[in-house]
Amino acid sequence: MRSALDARRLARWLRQHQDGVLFCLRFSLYTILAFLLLYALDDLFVVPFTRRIAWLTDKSLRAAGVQSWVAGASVGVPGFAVEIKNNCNAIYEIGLYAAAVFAYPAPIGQRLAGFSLGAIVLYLVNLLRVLSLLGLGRYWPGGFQAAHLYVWQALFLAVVAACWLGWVGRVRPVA
Amino acid sequence: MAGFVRSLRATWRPVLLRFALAFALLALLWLAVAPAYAFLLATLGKPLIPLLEATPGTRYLVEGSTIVAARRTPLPQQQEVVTFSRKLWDGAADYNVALLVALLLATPGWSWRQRGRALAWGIGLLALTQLAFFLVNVTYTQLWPITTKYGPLRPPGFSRAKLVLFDWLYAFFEFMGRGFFALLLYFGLLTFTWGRPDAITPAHPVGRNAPCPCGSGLKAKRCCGW
Repeated sequence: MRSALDARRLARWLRQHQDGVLFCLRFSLYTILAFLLLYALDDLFVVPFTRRIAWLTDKSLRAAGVQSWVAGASVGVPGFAVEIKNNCNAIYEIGLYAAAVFAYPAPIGQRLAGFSLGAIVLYLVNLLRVLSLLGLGRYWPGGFQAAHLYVWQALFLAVVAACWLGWVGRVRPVA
Repeated sequence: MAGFVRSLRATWRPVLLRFALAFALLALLWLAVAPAYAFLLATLGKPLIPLLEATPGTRYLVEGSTIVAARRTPLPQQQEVVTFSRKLWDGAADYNVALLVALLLATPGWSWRQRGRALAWGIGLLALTQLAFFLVNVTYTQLWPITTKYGPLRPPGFSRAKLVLFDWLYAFFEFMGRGFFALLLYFGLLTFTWGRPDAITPAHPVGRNAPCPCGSGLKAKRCCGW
C-alpha cells in the first residue's frame, strides 16, 4: 500500500518536473558525449584548433604593432611566451555550452543560432584571455599564475553561464 | 521561465556585481574550509575504499587540503618494502563549491526557500562528483608504475585495458572538476526550478504541415512541441 503510494507520488513528481529531469539527463549525456568526442579527436581537431588560436593571437598582436612570434601552440612577445594547452583553448567550454544549449527544450533553429553565437563569443573571449595573460606575464609575471589558474578560469565559466542565460532569456517557442 | 527571465533582465547589473562579490569572498573562504572538506571527503570515502584498494596496509592521510595514499609495496627479490605517496585529491585549487554557491546566491527571482533547496541539492551532488573523482583516483593511482632505485616496478593487478579506462575517467573528472560540474549543476537546477520557456501564441492559427512560426524551417508538427 505504502509502496504504491510512493510510486504514485514519484510519478506525479516526475510529471511535474518532466522538463527539468529531461534537461538534466540530456545535458549530462551530451556533456559526456562532447567530452568523449573531443578526447577522441584530440590530434585531429583539438590540436589544430589550439594552434589556430596561437596563430590568431600572433596576428592580433602584430596588427596592434606588437612584435610577436608563434610556433605551434606557443606564442610569445619579447620577454614572455605562453603555450596554449587544452584547458586554455575554450573548446571544452564550447562543448559544455553546446551540451547545455542542445539539451534545452527550444526550437532547433534557435538552438543552432544560440550555439553559433555563443561559440563565437566564447572563442573571442578566449582570445582576449590569451592576449591579457601574455600582457600580464610580460609586465607583471608575479600575477600570471593567479590570473591564469583562478581569475580567468572562473571568469570564463561565468561567461559560459552568461551566454547560456542570455540565450535562455531569448528563447520563445510557439504554443 | 517567465519569472526568472523577467528578474534577470531587470536586475542583471546587480546580479553580476553580487556574483563577483560572492565568488571573491567564497573563494577566499574556501582556502580556510578546504582542509575540513578534504577530511569530510576522506571520511565519506572510507567505507568504499576497501573495495578498491589492492595494496594491503595502505594509509590514507589528510595533509592540509590534500588527501594522500601512502602505499607499502615489497620489492621482488629484495628484502625491502618501499612506501610511496600518491596524491588523490587536492582541494586548494578546487573552486567548484565557491562558483556554484556564488551563482546560486546571485540568481534572481528565487525565494529563500527555493534558494536553500537549490543550495542543498547543488552542494550535495557536487560533493558526490568529488567523491567519485577521489574514488577514481584511488584505483587510477594504483595502476601507475612505481619508481624504485632498482628501476620501475609494475604495480600488482595492472592491466592495459583498466589503465586506458581509468586514463579516460581521470581526464573526464579532472576537466569537469575545473568548474564544469558546478555549471552543469547550476543549469540543471535552474531548469529544474523554472521548467521550459514560456510559449508565445501565434497571431494566426498554423496548420500542422505549415512552416513553424518560430522560424526554424521545420514543419510545425515537428517543432515547438505541436
